[in-house]
Amino acid sequence: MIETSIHPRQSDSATGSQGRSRHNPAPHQQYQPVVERESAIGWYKGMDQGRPETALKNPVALLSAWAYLAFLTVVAHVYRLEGRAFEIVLWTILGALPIYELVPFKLKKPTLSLAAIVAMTWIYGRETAISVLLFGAGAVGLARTGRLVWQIRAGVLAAGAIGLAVAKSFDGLWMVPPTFWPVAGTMLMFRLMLYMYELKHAKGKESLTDAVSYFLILPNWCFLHFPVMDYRTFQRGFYAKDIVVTRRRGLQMMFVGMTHLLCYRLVYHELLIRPQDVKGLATLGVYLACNYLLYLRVSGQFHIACGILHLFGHHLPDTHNKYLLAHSFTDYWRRINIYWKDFMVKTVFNPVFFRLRKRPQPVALAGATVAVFVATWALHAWQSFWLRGHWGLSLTDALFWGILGSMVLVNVQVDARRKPSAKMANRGLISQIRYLASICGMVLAITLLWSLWSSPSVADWAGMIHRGLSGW
Amino acid sequence: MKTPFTKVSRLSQLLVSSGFRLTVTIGLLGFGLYDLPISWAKGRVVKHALKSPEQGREAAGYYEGLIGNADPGAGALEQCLVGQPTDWVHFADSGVSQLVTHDVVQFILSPNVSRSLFGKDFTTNEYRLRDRPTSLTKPANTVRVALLGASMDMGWGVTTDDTYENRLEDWLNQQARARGDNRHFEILNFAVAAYSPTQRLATYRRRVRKFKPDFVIYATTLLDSRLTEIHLADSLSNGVDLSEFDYLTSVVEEAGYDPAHLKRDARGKWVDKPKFKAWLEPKRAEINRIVLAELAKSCQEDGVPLASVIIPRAGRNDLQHLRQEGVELQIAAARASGVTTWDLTDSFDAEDPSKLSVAVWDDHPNTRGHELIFQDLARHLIADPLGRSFGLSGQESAPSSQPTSGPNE
Repeated sequence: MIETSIHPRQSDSATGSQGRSRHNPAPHQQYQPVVERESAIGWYKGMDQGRPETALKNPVALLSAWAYLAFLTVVAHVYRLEGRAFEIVLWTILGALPIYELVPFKLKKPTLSLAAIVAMTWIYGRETAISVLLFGAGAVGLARTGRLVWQIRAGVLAAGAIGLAVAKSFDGLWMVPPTFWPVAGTMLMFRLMLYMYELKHAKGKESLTDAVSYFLILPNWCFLHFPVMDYRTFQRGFYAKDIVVTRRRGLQMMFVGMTHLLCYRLVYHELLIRPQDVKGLATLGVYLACNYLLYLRVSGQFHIACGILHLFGHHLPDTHNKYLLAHSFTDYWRRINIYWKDFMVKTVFNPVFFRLRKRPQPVALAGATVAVFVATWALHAWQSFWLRGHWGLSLTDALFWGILGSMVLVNVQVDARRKPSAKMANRGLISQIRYLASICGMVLAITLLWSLWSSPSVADWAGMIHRGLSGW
Repeated sequence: MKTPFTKVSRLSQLLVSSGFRLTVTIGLLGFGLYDLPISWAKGRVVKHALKSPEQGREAAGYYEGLIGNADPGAGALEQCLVGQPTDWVHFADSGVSQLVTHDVVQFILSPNVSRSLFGKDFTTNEYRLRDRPTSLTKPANTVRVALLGASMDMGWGVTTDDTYENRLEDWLNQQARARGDNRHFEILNFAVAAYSPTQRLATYRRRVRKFKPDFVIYATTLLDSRLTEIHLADSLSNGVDLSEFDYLTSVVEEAGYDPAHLKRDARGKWVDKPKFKAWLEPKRAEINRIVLAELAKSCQEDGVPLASVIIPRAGRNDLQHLRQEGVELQIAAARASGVTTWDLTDSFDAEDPSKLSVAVWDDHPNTRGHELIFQDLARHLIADPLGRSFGLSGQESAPSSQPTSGPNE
């Protein structure tokens, strides 16, 4: 930006004002406007253009958020929560947050991406970080290139992913660092699908900055099992609400996440019993409940991951919604892992339902629901392959998704025929008791299903249930 | 109308308030930092659970595998995520032992090892002992004590001089000098990491006897049952001749044992481990009881006094009210064989166990832990008539309990 200002002439100050000559003009001639070079302030203002009202600086609010974050970091350190990678991410955030607040608005996303690269290198080392970044750049570059039509790009990426999976399965890529696979996998395995979906449906060109910030998500490096972040939600949520409110919500999510992780440890170390120790109804109940509550670690990690993103202005939806209080299978599906549900609705349910829209509604609903659960089952195996190195397919796994899918299928049909019910506070006592009973029934059904999913075989599961019911 | 749901709604409003959040965070921090009194046994157990990383349990399920990375080969990733240093390895991979898979001992320490493991010197002498140099022939005026045990006693994660065994040796010699006793006390450390009771018994019969000890200390931990299980599975997988140990052959010949339970998949994972464990579980304590009886018999034949010590780990299962049953079982087994037992499992009770382990993921005691075990063992030697074998009169003052090393060094 070009600015003008009043500046004294250089020579005047040196000569003084004794003799009035060409070099020593009269006082009224000593000052004149000069054209100034672009200043740092000018550059900053330029880069800061477009800063929304939701991103106004508030040093006091930042300091209070930072102090509480430091507090949470100390708690995580004292309780040794989630280990080294989580602590590195927390320290990176503590260092990056004030810088992030100071940089102009247009540099916020690049700054956060840079912090993510620093944390990834710190956690996994240079070799893995460079290989993941190069591989990711190649994959995202291919997804974005305008020289190929969308179908070809999607086909090449899908073929590449399947080819890599086959090569990895047969140890054909032994030269790749072992940590490359889970890190690259967590970054690309689902997000690339959603990104391709958005590229297909977007009206304009997606910015490179948005793409980089979408794939380089800072908390992803400590939580490889990460919520399936939707590209458009991630992009639209950036400073969607006032930063003070967003940060407060983020800290709340982090706090809730940490309490989930601590509760998980209590369950894991103190309450959980082995399936072989089930002898009678009481021990069966303890096993079913505690085995299901192990999910607290997932919900804890998801809360913290989203909470961290809130600190940087990303206002995102809840990851879970009181999933222990689900009163039906569809309600359960809506409450647990909301990001997965949204991912499935967007990429599977809606497209299938749309294709079947000319059929009767129950048929279209059934087709779309079946497609969602088949995809969920296959994509969980896909996730297991990239994060653990094997597909993890088993009969109990198939049964779990099959039964859960069937239950949701029935529930969807019933819900489609039912009139909307009154709000809970407006219901009568009988209705509320019935509602409570349905919550208890759901807890029982889900814990039973979960125990089946966790069992090495159906025979082992049946044996455990038999011991629990028969008392020995 | 007020309903349970309006109460839940009010409660959730309270939970999201920043004042509540701050109060709970401060409370959690205080609970984590404050050393609870020993009498608050349950509080200490809860605190230890909250501060313990997620490992060591057999929790199963899709997410446990996905997040816990409990698979073989996940070591590099675990190092990055959890924070094990890159030189932290399992004992079998540390290059300090040799496999003898045809023999019941399965593996032995290599001789003359001198290397750094996890920043600590790890040395063995020419007789494959994790100890200072010695000789096969007992020098004159020397009282020789043999220590049988596993990783805790071998000193996994501490230097040779910092093991409780060498601290005791130094203290005994110091006491001898102080009272003008010209005898030299030498404790030979025959402990090897992961040695089960049967491997310790085999070590006594094959190696210890040659050194002509005057006293034998048999160290046990609450992990011995697990070690028995691992040893028997490995021995059966490797086709070891167990006829020397008829209590093992009789167990195997009993109905219910299925060799198919030992099979491993292509990734080396022991598929039917839970079935093998379930089959052996009721027999493990009996096996360990018989081992001690056999050792007592062998020592009696050699005219060597025997005592057993129960050593604590710096982990959850050795916390005060969780260990009781296991300790009582071991004391009863020793009593049945007429063996004196010194229970040292309370050595760590006065301190925060999380500060006594060699690392977050490894509950072997660190230098301070070994110091506490030594002090407790010395106190038992002073108080017990068997301490006379060590030249102690019973009037000695117990070693100071002041720490000479910082927490987690």
